[in-house]
Amino acid sequence: MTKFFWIDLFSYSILPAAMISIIRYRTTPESYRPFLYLMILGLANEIAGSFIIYAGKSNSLTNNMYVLFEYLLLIMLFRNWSKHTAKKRWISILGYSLTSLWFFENIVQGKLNAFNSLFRIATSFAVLFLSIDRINASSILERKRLSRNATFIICSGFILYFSYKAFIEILFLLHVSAGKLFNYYLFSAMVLINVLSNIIYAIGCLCLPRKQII
Amino acid sequence: MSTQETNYLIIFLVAALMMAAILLFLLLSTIWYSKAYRRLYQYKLAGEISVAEKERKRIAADLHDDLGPLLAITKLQAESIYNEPGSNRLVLKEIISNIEYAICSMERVNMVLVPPLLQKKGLKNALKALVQQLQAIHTIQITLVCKQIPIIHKKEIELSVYRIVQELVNNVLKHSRASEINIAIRADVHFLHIHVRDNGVGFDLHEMQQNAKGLGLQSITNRAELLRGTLHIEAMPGEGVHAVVQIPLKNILL
Repeated sequence: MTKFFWIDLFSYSILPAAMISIIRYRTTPESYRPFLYLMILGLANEIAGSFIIYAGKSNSLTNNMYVLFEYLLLIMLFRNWSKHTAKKRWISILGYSLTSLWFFENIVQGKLNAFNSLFRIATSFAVLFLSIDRINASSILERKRLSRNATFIICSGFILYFSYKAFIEILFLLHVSAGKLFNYYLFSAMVLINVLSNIIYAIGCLCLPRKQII
Repeated sequence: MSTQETNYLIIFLVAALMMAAILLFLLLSTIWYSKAYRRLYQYKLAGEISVAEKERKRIAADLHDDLGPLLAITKLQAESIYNEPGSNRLVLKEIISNIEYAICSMERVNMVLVPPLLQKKGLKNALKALVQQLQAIHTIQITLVCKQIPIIHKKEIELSVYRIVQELVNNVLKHSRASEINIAIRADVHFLHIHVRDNGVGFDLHEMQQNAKGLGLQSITNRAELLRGTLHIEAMPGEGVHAVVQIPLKNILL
């Protein structure tokens, strides 16, 4: 078994969350649907990535497309959660501006087949800050138990994953490396954090509120 | 410095800056939501107090409009029978005096529910009337000193200040077994100070804080909080109680 095989296998830890998303799709309120789409899209991206890499090609193109759709779904999710507040408009502006950044980096600069860091860093920070905001809103303003609060759980997963992702992407952008061993630990930690956040997403999916039918 | 050392430094700096940015945002967001929570809490308090005041007004109106005329008519009927020859005057006299007592009690309850002087003559005169009314019922010496009370334009704020004093005095009357109550209300540049001091039995403040607050004290705290004020109590067993409410003037003179 090669090291890549294990990494590939761990990346499929999104499977339980994606399966729960499919099963719970009809009973989940509209506002949480973008999260379900995100889980399914994540699984699709992992499958496509595996095929492409085993075929000996780079998955940069699919990955660049994935990060854009991932970001758009996340923006939709946070917009839904901030309905009836003034923040909704700011979230939309954030969505449009960073989507423009994606077009600039990938289309205008013509780097669609490369792993571009700027968009990934910007979106990671955006999601990170939006998640902190939502966690504060859940813990201060809502009366639900936090251990059963889907928004709180999902945002915790986002904070865990996107803070580390931003850190790694900044190092990529700066071309900083402190040796092979360092890089090995850096990526091993990323794999571990990915698995942990996928487990958190699966728990979040289980705690999603049910749609109220009148 | 070698290249690897420089790289480690950069990595450390990136991590530290990220951490700082996240913590800063967390802090700002927490402050923002705490303010939002405080605003919500105050809306809720204002709603609850407004509902309670409306209910008081409704009860007062019901008493005044329904029970008042009914008692007055009954008294007139009893008086007309009293003047007829052959009636049991002794019993009728007692009935008339009972009705008069019921009318007086009803008027007293009405005064407590909706202080009529507050609307017409302002806080100072309403408090004077409250003191006179209480002294007529209870065998207790009450002194009221009002110094530089500003004119409060918003009636609901004036009512809140009135209720705070009323509730503090009610607490003394209920629990303290005091023979004297001193009420002092004064304003300085920034605050309106309400002092209510008695010479009663006092209580153990620590013990009271551990037990749940009574409804009266909770109502005072709520009203004070709504005006962003504070309630401070000094008490010792056997040494009476000194309650101080401080309300920022800027919240009163809106």
